[in-house]
Amino acid sequence: MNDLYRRRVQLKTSMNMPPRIKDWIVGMKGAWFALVVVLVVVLAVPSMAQTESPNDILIVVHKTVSVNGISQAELKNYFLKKKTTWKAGRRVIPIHAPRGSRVRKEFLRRALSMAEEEERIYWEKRKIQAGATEPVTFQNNLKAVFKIKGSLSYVFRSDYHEGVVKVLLTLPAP
Amino acid sequence: MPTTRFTVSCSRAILAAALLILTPLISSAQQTAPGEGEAEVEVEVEVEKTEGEDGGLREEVERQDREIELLKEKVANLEVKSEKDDEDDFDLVEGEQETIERSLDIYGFFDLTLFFFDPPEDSVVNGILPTKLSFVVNRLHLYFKSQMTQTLSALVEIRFTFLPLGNESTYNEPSLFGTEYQRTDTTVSEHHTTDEFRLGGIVIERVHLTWQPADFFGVIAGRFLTPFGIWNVEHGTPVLIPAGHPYFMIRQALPQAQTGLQIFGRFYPFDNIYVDYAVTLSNGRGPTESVYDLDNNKALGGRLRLSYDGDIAGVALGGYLFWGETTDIVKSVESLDPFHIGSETTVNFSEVTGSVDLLFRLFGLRVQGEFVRGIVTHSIHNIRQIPILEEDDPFSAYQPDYIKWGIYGLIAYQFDVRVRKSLVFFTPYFMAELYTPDDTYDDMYQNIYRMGLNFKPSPYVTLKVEANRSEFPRSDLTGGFWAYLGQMAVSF
Repeated sequence: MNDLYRRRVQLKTSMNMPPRIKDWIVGMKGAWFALVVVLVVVLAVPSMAQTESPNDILIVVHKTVSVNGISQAELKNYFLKKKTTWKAGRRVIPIHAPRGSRVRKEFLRRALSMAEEEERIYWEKRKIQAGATEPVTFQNNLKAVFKIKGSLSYVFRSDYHEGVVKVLLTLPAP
Repeated sequence: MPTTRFTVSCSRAILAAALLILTPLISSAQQTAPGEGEAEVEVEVEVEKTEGEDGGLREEVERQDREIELLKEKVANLEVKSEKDDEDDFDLVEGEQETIERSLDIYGFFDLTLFFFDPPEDSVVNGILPTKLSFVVNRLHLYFKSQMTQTLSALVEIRFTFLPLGNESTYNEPSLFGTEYQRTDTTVSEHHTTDEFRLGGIVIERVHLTWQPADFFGVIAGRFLTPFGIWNVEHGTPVLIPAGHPYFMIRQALPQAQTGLQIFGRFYPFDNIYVDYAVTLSNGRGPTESVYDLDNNKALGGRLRLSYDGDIAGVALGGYLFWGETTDIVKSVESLDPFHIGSETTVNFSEVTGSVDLLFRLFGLRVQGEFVRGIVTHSIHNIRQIPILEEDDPFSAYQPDYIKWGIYGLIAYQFDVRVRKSLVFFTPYFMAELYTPDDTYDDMYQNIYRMGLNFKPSPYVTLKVEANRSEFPRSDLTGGFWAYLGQMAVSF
């Protein structure tokens, strides 16, 4: 291996390089290896340090919903009512948290890429175009999902109660 | 090859640096989240028992037991109360067949427009359009939307208008037409108070039942907006970017609404990609199409639209094809004994009209365009009519077959500005349009260029200012003219 490595370095350094520099490059092979290891670990360590944040948003559904996961694109389709049925065919009932609440603002930003005003404009437009009805709002939207079959909503991880509803997707805190 | 002291030192230095960097990183990665997997720590506490304190401790324990019982009772009461509140909230929503959407929504929009048309003195348009600076509440639309079940809904849209007040039906022309100036006045007087007020009008824009058991299939029955283009779908002044409608919409190159049946649906081949379709069957066009058809031929239409709708960019391409027959009749008493009323067809033509629409969106940029073209073929030719005036052209014979076509392009850019805690939107725009309702009538060939600014200080209010220039390049009757509009559109 050392011979193979030396030959490779020789090939690469054979193009009109002064001998001292060639020697330096070959002699540094241990140091290069250490540098590569440092770089790999520095890049990988953040992924090792995955911690759950109380500000993660969990996308929750009623326990009878048969799907086990959804994509962010599907989530957006359901809350903008561009799609209205689950894959199994049951009607999706999207439920919002109260207007102005922190979880709703964060959900709009992370899931729908919208500010509150933009969401408002979207629904005013849809109502005029097609008589569309915007998703209903409940003061306690987690309890609403617990009770209403086919429903879909969102909560902060800190407000989530294990076993009450099913989690389909996590939108991590920034 | 010799390895120098320098290179050895560098190697060692880098290895040392690696250890210094890695050690704290690895230890922080191995830190667990608060509350998770903490090692249990056993703490031994020695309790020293002292003489004489047994009695005091026993009393303390009994007191705490009583407090705990009281607290348990309070918690149980709270749970019951809370459950009762929940039942009130969700009483109507449990069960598969119930819907949680309100049974009836009432909402709408209106606009106030300030307009000024400035045609040349010698232009024929000078006598047709109002040329004084004027305010008008042009549109007031009310919507009634009922979601009866999860798959069944009804929608009614009604437009209230001050028309036909001010409608000019004829002009003074004693020599050729023998007419006098007539303008509609809707003033009426209350009998017992003599209080005067003006009547208005009601236009039923749409009224239909929608049954949609699945995203890919639904049925609309009633009067519905023709599913073509971008403009006809967007429909309302709070939604539209410019202040005025394109000319081909005003002249109804395609019927804006139809009475009959529509099948529609949407497919989702991939994330953010949609395929929409619609098929329409209706009375088509005609002088009485919204109440009865004057022939047995029903109009057919088909719509297809492919779109990609992402967060940053979007593109949509759609088309609609319409085939229909239009008939008009005159009825006469053909005999008195036996009494018989006969009808004579005075107009009959068929049309095939197609439209293509394209929409492109990138960040705040919006580019849209529509093209429409129709061929009208007569089997019974009526006397040619002057467009807009809808009067028989005294200098023409019969209406020939003709082609109508039009195209427009709109470019706009939406800027978002945060003012205090609210987002407001500015959208400057430019639009160019070419349209002719009848290619055998050169005077009606029209170009219109619009430029303006659309400002949304609130999701419910849109303010627009616009200047537009109309040109009639093939007409000897009129030259071009400017029009200026200011509009406030409100949705409520």
